[in-house]
Amino acid sequence: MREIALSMGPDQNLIGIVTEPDGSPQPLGMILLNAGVVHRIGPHRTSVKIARYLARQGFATLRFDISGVGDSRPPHDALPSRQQAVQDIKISMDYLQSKYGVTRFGLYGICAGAMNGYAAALADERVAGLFMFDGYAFSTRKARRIRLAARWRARSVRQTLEALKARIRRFASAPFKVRTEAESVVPVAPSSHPTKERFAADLQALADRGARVVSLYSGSVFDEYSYAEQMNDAFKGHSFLAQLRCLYQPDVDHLVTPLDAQRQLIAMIGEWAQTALVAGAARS
Amino acid sequence: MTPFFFGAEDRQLFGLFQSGERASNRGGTAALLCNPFGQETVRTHRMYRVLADRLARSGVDVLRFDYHATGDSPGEDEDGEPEGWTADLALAHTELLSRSKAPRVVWLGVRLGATLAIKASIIVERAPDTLILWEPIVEGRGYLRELADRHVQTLKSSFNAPAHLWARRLESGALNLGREGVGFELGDALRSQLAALTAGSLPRPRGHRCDLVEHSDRPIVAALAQAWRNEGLDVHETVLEHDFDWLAAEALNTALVPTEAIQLLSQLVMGDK
Repeated sequence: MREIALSMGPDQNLIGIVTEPDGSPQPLGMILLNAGVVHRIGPHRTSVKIARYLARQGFATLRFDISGVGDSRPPHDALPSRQQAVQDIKISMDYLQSKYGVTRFGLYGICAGAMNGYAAALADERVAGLFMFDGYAFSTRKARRIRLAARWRARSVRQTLEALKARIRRFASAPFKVRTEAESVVPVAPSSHPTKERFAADLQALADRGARVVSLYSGSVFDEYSYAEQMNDAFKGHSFLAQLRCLYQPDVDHLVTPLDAQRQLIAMIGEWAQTALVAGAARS
Repeated sequence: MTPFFFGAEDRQLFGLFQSGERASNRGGTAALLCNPFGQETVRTHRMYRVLADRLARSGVDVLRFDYHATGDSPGEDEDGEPEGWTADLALAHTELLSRSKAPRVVWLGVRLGATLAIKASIIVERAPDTLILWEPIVEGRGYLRELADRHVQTLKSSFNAPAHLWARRLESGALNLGREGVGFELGDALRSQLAALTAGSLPRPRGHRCDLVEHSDRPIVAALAQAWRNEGLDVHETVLEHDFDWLAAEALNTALVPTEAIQLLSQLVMGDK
């Protein structure tokens, strides 16, 4: 295994590290994306650990900073942030393709990184695998019931009485307010969040071209993802579910703080990488 | 900005070199920025990046680097330890001297990076002209306690699922908390070396000038400054109003790049203060 420091892109503005496997690399390149504003090493250096684990499995793996994050400056003709991120990811795929001859790629990202990976996967058919950690989530009636019950359980007797009084006051002032179905599917992060219909169509498109998608939810996003089957319930009847692997890990936090959580995450990514590799081999 | 690896084949270090941009200032100052430990490095990365850009625009050659087993450098978390990192810092200094012709060399270290700078200054052939030490760690046992406390605090704030597994494991003692510090493994050598770190064990740094930057009065640091003055070092103490939360988790919206810190540190590196 060997690591190479590099700059890439038309302005050489993107800074990254390739972890090369010993011997010939697998025909699938792996790309690790920034988690929010954390630079390319990832929260608690997890991206370094993941890159080395994947390289030991034979994958050439690139971790890099997208424009404006970490050590990468925006290019002189920068696009709006999500478009620029997709452009940067395409540049990173071009880089691995030119250096190692790989033509298919797996993308991994946490939070904003998951959303950037999702956008790139839709924009570039070279993406054969997508691992989203705390990416988009869609609520269900059951999720709301679970969250409500959890909130009530966490309250003291006094807090419970206060909350009951507040509910009675609210009901007295607006007794006939009915929750609409539209409210029940309101996305959790409205600004850049796809609608439920858009997400279903996007995931179907990825499934149709054989991309292996994993969506992992941590114990830090209980207010967005509250039980293991939430994705299945939110998209009941959609055929893309057969190819989507949805994981709920309440003992892993959003920042992957405990070392044990880091080991669990790395194992899940390793397993996903192998499925994406096999899927790619089956198609080619 | 040039990313590269340097050092011996069996202990390569990752570095980022930024050449000073203003030709008129070439031959002025070169700066080595020394990382703190673990989560504090993640927290300070953006600040160092902004500071490095600002210094480079003013003509200063800047080298940032990762110690062995940290950041992008090879090595696993558990292999990192302060004695090795002190040697890494000295090696980075040599690398900076090979890339810059600047006659004046400044080291800036924060927290454990400042402590390592103190120690490395006495082993390098050519000492830095100025050391800027921002809240150096001078009591290792206290630092280990701080890491343990913040680790648990981070876990408590990071999870919001009810009755989550980690809390049950915490109560049962199943998590080996002594070996974890806010997401980073604390190896045996790291813990034993930190446990042995006291203000009295620190040497008087070599160099012409030392700037100690503190948020609040720490008698132990004031005493250290006085002791160094008595030994002939030109020590300046500066108060920085901003209270930097070194160990905050990334998701919390604490300031990553406090303006007053950037201004003060730039002035100190440039020798303008």
